[in-house]
Amino acid sequence: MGDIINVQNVSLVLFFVGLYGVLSNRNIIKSIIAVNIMDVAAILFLITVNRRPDQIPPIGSQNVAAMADPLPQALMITAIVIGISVTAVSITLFIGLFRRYGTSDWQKIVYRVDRG
Amino acid sequence: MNSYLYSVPLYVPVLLPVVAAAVGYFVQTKVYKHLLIAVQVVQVFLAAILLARVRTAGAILERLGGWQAPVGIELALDEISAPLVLLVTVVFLLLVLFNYRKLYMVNTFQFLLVSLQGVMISLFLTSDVFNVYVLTELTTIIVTVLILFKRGKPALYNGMVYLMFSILAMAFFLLGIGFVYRTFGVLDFAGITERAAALENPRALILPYALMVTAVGMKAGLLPMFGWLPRAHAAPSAPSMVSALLSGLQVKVGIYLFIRLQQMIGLTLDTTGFFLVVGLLTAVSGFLLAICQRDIKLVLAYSTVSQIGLIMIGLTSGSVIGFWGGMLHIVNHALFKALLFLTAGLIAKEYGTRNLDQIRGTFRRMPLVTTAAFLAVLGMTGAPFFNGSISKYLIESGLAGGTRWQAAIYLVNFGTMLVFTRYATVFFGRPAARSGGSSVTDRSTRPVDPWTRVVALVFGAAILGIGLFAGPVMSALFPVESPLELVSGATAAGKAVAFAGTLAAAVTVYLFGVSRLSVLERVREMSVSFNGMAILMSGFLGVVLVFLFATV
Repeated sequence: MGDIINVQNVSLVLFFVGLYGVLSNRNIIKSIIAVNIMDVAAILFLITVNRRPDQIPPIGSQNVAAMADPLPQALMITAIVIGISVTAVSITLFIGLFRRYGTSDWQKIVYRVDRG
Repeated sequence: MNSYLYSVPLYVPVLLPVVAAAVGYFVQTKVYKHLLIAVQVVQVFLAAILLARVRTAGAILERLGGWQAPVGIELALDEISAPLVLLVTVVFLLLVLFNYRKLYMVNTFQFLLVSLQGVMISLFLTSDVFNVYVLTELTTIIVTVLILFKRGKPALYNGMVYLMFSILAMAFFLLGIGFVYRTFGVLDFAGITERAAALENPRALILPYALMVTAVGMKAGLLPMFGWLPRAHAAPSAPSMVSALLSGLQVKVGIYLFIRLQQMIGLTLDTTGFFLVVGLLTAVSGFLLAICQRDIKLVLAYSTVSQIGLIMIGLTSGSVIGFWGGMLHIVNHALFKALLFLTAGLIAKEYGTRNLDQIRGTFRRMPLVTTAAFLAVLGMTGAPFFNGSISKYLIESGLAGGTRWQAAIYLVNFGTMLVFTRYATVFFGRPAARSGGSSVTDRSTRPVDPWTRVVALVFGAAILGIGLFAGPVMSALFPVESPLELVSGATAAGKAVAFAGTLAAAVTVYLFGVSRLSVLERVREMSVSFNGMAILMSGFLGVVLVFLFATV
């Protein structure tokens, strides 16, 4: 049981929870949140790739063999920043959409866009 | 001097536009414009040098920062990416020249535009999947802002859908990267290719591949995932230059990434049959939807989907000729679709409407622009002596499947002709009286800028030129012996007859069938919301997974 509940599997579950949120919600804000959950899950997955519990943080130059792999950590900082910026852009657009159409429902907005 | 130029580092064409655009941002618009045009000229020059170097001395590989491959970042330019870099620079130069006097060429717009060029070129140069992720997200943001650039038009929804859908796809891609790193421990293309070939259990590759190919397929606009494409490419607020850029170049980045992905896993998993079918379905559904549209830009956007399908068929045909035919079609499509969007923008502005049924007689009203558009239509439909006929012929002759696949190509070409028969109705007839509305008279006092007409004709000349000099152009761009019964008289006559026959059939079907159907109205009214698109994308992922688990 303890083998199944590890960070990798938890992050996979989280990813598909996020995907479910994207598929099932018509609310734009909820879609943005759900996509963010997917992003965070993917980041969590990458950070914990090939990680063992006895590893130490990759800081300094002593005891290199015991350190965790620094590459995914470095990459995921970039991914986190990207996630924040795209979220910021999408929320900005959402504010504009909400002002124009007065709703946060994808379906209603697409209806109003396509039929005047 | 010569050898110094010859060894120009790869990061120059990436950094030059971005740095120039950022440094010059605060000068007057007039000066800035000329600065950036100069940058574009230099870019074309650099890209041509790099292509020549790749063709003579083989692929170029550069390490940034002095680190070795798995850790450091590498830039690479090879025979696939070099022609595409040249294509990007040439199309950008022509677009910037075309827009020389447009009012929306303010500093912010130009800054975004030119940075987008840098990012696009770096996507072609990068050889690391994580960089692909970063750069793709960057293009997504820039493109979103560009789509929404003209204020006051109701197009926020188009930008929003494009943005959200891209982010969603890139979340798939990121998880795919995670699996790749877990399986292989490297992220660069060469390392993955090497270790994927040595994998003892190919099934370990299925999940990362499916995730990544779904994301890349969304970027390229493959069958169930092209819902965003017409919305983004034909957004009412996007200047026609941006539409041209997106349809001509941006989609091709997705296709390029698909080629790279196939190279990486090609030795382990065989998905060519699958994507051949996906390509055909994309091509067919693209032209079926294009016929239904009434908006001049939407017709062009859906026709892009159809041509993407054709390119996919060529690239996955599994033969050398088919592959390079697909590559040539990427180049050709970039040229004629960019020209079509530009001229469509001019026509729509002149008539004050984007409704195909209300525009008539552009030949009389704007002869030069229409001539350019007509050249593009001829290229698009694969008329003899035009570039489209060459690439379509190469794709067709690269297909091994025999007559069934050739019939499929004919079907796609027939559909393209049907779409452009409808499109060409705007060229003929008699224009409505100019005094029809105040908006029309206002516009007609300001005739089309002669400058834009010249650039449009240059585009048209390029389309015809590639067709006439197909052999030399092919061997200059691509490492393939130009196959060349192309030039011989017998096949040319045969192709001309085939073209005329298909055209006659298309016109007949259009006049007596399509133009009278009421189904079109209903299809046009169909709209898929964001959730629908997401479901379709997950469905694509599911189908890829099922296909791979069943066959591997």
